[in-house]
Amino acid sequence: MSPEELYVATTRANMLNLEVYYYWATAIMILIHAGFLMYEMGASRVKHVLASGTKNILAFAFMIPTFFMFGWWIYLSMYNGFVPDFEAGAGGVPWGDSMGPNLADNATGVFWGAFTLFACTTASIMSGSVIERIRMAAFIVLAVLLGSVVWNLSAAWGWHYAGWMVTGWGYHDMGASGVVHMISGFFALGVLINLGPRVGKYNPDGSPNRIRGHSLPMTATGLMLIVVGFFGFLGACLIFPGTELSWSATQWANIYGQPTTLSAICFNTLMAVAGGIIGCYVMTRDPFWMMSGALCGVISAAAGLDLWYPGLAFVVAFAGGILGPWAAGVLERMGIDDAVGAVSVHGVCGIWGLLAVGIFMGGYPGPSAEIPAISFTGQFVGVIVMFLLGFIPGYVVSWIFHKLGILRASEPVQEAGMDKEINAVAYPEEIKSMH
Amino acid sequence: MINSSPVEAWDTASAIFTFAGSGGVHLWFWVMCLLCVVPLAVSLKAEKAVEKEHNGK
Repeated sequence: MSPEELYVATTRANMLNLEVYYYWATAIMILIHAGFLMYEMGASRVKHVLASGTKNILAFAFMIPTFFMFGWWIYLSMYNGFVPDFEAGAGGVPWGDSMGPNLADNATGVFWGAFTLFACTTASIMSGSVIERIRMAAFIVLAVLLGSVVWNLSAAWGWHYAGWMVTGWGYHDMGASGVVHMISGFFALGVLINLGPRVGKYNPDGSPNRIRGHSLPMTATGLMLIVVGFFGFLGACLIFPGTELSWSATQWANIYGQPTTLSAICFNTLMAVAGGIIGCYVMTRDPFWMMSGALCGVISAAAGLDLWYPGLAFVVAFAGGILGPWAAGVLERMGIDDAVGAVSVHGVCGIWGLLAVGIFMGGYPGPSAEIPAISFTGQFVGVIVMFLLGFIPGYVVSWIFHKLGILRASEPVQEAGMDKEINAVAYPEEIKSMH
Repeated sequence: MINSSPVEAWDTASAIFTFAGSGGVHLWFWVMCLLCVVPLAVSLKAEKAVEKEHNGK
């Protein structure tokens, strides 16, 4: 075999390995959705369980076709802002040759699948916070807006080698602390402001009541499944080496093109999970928050997973584990009823994740000489952009739905249980709700 | 803020993690160790309170 033939064969084999890698990473990412499903159903009271589950499943189902219709195209074409680059977006046009079975393209389908699952994750983050009172149609539209439009814009701007936040500011968000978690958390905050609290959450004097879900074991197990799914999620944040689509012939790279390893992600993801759980345990000793602490930890360390010293990843995650429940308490006292703490876990810890990179990692070179090094300023700009890009659409569209009267279930329906909307019974042998 | 980068270019880099090859690694290692002890103290305190409530001692 000549050197040229050997190169072609090796590159082809690498391409097939790339396809296998992202295919299974996508499958593992579905565990995030299975976990959120359990998490949200467990956090619901008996009379709301199936409504919560149904909304979560429908968010997943709607994300897939809408990501095919326009989500992937937005990501590919809108890296410069709001004006699309039609040439760059051509590969994502839903009637294009790449957007279906194609023997000359082993990559587009698995990349599209992985990005679609990222979108499903954003919708799931929002869906938990609004359980027990949001109406179905409004929820589906909001989920599609978040997962197939807003997240795609944030990713195009800050999670794309040509994104303006990357090329202009050196924004570094390897594991999506900002582009997935902050976006989703603050989108949820915008919705929650218009949606209002669940009936019975607040007393006439404004003091909050603790509304307990019907199955903490289900919630805790769901959160552990999310942790498993995160290994697929974070693994899929890397670019496979050795193909014509790769950054390097011999080494993994992050989405921006800086070299890294799967070992880096393994070290720091595990340390972040542990740090978050232990931080939340110290803060609350509450099993719900301990498992949410795993998310607090991963989200806090995610932006720099490729670069942390593992001991420092643990410390950053530990701080996230303290920050998450503290922020949830602040929001609750402000009258924001976030049923699962999504705003604090994803939004506030996402801010911390971006800023931690700015605080500790200033000076790391950009992926090329033209791209600025990591800096606190670049990360701070990222925090502002991600907050606004998440919050404004969530607030504005939910405000319109609120004015149209289609956002929130009435008090009698909430009292009877949102499962009245669902043609099934969660527990036919009637576990009684105490609430 | 803190420039913890051990590399100035990616071409020849090996250990790229924050503070690689400097005393910062030892600092954060020991901070991590300390943080692992804190929950033990929290647990002991909580257990002691429960024991006292139920056994009066």
